[in-house]
Amino acid sequence: MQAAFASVYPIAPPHIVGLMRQKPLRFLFVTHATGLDDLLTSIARGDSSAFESVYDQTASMVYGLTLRILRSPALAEEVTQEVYLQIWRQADRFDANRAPARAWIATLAHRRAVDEVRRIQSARDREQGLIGEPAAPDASERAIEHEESARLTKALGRLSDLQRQVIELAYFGGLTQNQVAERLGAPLGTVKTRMRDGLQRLRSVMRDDHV
Amino acid sequence: MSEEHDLVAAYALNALDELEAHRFERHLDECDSCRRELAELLEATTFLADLSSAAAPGDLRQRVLRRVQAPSRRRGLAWMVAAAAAAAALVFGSLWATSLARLDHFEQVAAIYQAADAQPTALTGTEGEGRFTHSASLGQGVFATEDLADAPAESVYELWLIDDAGPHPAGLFEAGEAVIVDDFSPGQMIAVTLEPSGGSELPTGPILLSGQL
Repeated sequence: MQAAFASVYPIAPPHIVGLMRQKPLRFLFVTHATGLDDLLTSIARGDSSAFESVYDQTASMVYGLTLRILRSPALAEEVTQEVYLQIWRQADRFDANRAPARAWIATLAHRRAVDEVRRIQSARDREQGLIGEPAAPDASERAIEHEESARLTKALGRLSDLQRQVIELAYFGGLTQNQVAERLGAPLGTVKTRMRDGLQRLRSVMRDDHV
Repeated sequence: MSEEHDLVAAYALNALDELEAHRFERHLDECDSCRRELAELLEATTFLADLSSAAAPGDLRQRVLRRVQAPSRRRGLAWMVAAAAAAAALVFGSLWATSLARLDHFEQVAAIYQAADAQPTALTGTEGEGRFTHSASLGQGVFATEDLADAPAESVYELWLIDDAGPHPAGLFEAGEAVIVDDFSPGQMIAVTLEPSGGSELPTGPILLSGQL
């Protein structure tokens, strides 16, 4: 019995082989358009070259976004790795009818980074027994801020002050809408409205930007 | 309904707590206009993400590819799935229900959980709990965990079947994932250790969870 067990290892039994992620059948994909949506579909079939293309097309967005939120290159690298692991494993959850691939990937990256921020914050709160303000940025963090893309500053500059504040606190600060309201001393209803019209405004800025 | 409707922008910004987000996702399934507006607002958040772009460190690409390829080029005694949420919930309640990552594996996992002779084995330890549910008639079992923390960087959880001949690797997994095990026999011990990325041929870390088949 044991001998049989040993002889099977490490070669998988045939029915298990059938269930494992197969080597990509590259010829199926070479003629395919290489849009991100299609690439994610290929990843869901186990195509690792499609995965490499997705990485190359999105890594600076994922890394840059997580860096802005986490303010630590080491943490940003770690979270970026987790995001791509998640893309590799969960590409089959991507639904092009709901949002394009780039939005799906940006959302995954944002969630991971914000989860991390909230985890760190709640650990800090537990330690200190108080609701802490985020730590003051140190020199390296300020350096990052200086590198902030001029286009981002310009886009955010097209918003009203309150629109910009609620969006920055939520999207880059990782605060919930309730925390944003508390931080700004503004009614929750106002925060909700400014988030909504601020994002709509950004969307029209984006359209101008792309013309 | 209009109350849920108000949450769309905060949802796009990921600025809802878990409960609110869950509530909104349920609403989203049945509200066309929220789905449409969410798609629009996600254009704006994706714009912000794009504008945040910064060059990723050059070696990050290689590290990512290594991590992604590690499990698939290794042995095949077991393969990874995220546990079949619904099937697990059906049998054990939500405690053992974890996320379902790969729909194409759902039926196999469900079949094991629903087999007439499905037999659970509890794994206990200081780091969390696990359960190995196997069916002798199918010759397969599903291992799933609860409360296991994410493995630290450069490491991975590894499942072992241990008998008189020693420990046999039975698959690598991350917190929240389940492992399908194909080759086990009564009397074996089933255990989990933490190993360097890519796994080990023999356990190097202490046993975190264990149980007896």
